Amino acid sequence: MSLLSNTATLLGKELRTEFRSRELLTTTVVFILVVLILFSFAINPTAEESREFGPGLLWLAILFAASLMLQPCFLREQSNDTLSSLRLAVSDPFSIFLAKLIANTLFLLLTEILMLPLFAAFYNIAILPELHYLLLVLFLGSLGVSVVGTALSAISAQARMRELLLPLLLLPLLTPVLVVSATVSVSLLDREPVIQWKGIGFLAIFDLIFLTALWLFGEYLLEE
Amino acid sequence: MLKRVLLAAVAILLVIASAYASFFIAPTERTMGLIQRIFYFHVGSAWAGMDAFFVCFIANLLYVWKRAPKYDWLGVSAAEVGLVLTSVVLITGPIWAHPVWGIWWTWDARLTSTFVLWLLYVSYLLLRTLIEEPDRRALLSSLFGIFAFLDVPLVFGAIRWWRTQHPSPVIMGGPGSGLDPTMKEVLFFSVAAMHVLAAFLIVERYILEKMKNELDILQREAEAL
Amino acid sequence: MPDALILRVGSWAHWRVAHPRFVRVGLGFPNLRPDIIFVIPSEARNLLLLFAGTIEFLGAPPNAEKTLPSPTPTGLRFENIDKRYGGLFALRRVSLEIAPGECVVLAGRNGSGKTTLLRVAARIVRPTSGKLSFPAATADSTSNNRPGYVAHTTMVYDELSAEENLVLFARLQNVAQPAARAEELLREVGLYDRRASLVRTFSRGMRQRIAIARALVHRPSVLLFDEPATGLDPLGISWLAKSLGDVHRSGCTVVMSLHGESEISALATRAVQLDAGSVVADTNSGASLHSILTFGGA
Repeated sequence: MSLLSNTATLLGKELRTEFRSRELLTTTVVFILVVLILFSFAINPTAEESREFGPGLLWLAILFAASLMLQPCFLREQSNDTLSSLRLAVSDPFSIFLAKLIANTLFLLLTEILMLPLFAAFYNIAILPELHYLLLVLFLGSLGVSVVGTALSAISAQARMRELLLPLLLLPLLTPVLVVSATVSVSLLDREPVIQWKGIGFLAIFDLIFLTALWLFGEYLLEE
Repeated sequence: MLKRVLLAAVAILLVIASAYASFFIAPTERTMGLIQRIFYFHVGSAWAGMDAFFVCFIANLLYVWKRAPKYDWLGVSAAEVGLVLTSVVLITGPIWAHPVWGIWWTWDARLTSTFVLWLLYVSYLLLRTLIEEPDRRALLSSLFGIFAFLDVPLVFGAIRWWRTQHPSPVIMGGPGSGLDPTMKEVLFFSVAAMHVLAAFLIVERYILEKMKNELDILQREAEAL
Repeated sequence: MPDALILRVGSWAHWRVAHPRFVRVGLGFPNLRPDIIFVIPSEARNLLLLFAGTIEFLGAPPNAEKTLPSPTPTGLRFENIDKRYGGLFALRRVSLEIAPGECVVLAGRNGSGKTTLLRVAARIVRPTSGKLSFPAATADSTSNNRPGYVAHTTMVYDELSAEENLVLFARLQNVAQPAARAEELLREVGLYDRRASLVRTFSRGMRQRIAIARALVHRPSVLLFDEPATGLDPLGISWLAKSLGDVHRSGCTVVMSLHGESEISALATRAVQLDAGSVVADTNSGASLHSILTFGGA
């Protein structure tokens, strides 16, 4: 189907552009690192507190980083009006969104995986035992962040004060992801780990709802 | 014009009547005393606010479908009224909580979710101020409004199921906590009154927006000459 | 007795206006109305088509099909196109019929609506009301109604090389053998030596050329050009005039907006003048090319 092949082509373009300069990835990694360190300065947690607060702080850092990382998403397409040429070329405008959100999810996941060892070290939390489930939560949560973030990035790119606007629009919308991901992560990294399937299911439904909404309304986001 | 005055009169009368009912007709609550009477306004505003946001959602969908400016006017009117009512909920919450428990804010599931709801629609209105061109503003804010409303059940669900670990004072009791029949009647009346008030405010705001739009068009035409 | 159970695939016109993603699928017999009607997403329809035995199309599929191997002469028809931005009309009841194979110049002051009209034709801007269509020269061909569009910006990616850009756009538009087509285009526009350089390093003239190459990647039957000569030196203008002439001669319909007379305006078979969003003069209605190009016509 044209949608899938267009998406694959555009995804290739997104990845190639990013890996050539690596600017987004490096800045995001550094940002999360800085935030995690600053948190520990501000709170100075004990070992037990680290275990309780750590995952929540990690997710908070991810959200902040994402709201910065997602800004160039559509802004980049404005300098040479490449958004218009893409819209002209693809058969389904959803492929533009799909490619970008897959790319953003991958970038987020990559930064999170790079961050995990450092996070484990700073907050003295053992991540290896439940790593597979942790990755699942990270994936579903990051996907939710990307879907909503990509959509809102298209909106904020067309408004003024876009640097402040995107976090302002994004963070309230993502509170469910924050709450559920953080809670599931905490219970996963507890002394007696428990995987909350209800939470996993919730995240999956969140992702599905907004993916569908983007599929239905995406082309209007790009309209002129 | 007559209809508007009539609606205004009915709304004001109903609100005054429900205030009277809250203070004089409803029996005093056993444990909490006088302050509990704020319950009637608190719940009434909450329901009316949510319904106003629902109206906004429908208006947003209609705008994206039909592209008629009137749906945009309806959307912003409903959102503003909803925001005001939600603010009432957020203010009456602490006013109620402080005398009873000595704390200003309780992380009660519903109150917290209402706060996020408030933030969402503040963002909606803020977005509108940052886009100048009217058609673009209407389209983009409608799309954001749709996303925001889709998020509302998810916010309420997430907070309710995953943030009630620490027992926190539940404001106004759960929905099923047995209410005295008279209280129920006063509550019902209050909810109805707030709805009529909301409808009145939305209508007035809509007319204001419509006039603003006409003025804007005239100004732009004048500048173009 | 009906001889076959066929799957009828059509489009629910009402929904199509509101949402192009859903189609109606009916299960029925050849001469009877469909009994059972499902509304499904159009992607699912594509899957169904793979399995259905006999398929009868009632309506055109919502999305454009693959590109043709060579341009079928196609015209442009604007019917009462309005475009409003806030209270201002950028385009006001524009009705224009451009025949296949014409080379039309759009002239007019800045702000007269030329760019908007071209962007409407390119389907980048959605008109507030009115209809745009691409009537083909031959009635039965399903021509590729995706025009080529060149604007002030290159509309290609600065961080990719010339070749990578062209291959990208070729792939997106289902052009056969994208790499070969990219190479062919790069040679045509004279950028073959710089094919591996990032577009960011290109000069103004080279940017113009890569923009044209991108527009022509899918061999469009209509080419839309917004002020092509801006910023070009005389050598660049000559090259552009020659290229446009070649494109026009190969059967492409060309619509371009211009200021004043030049080598490029000499290619025109017709000129139309816009003022304040409306058509005020047309060589088809007797106005002279010269007067239109110098905004003398009214």
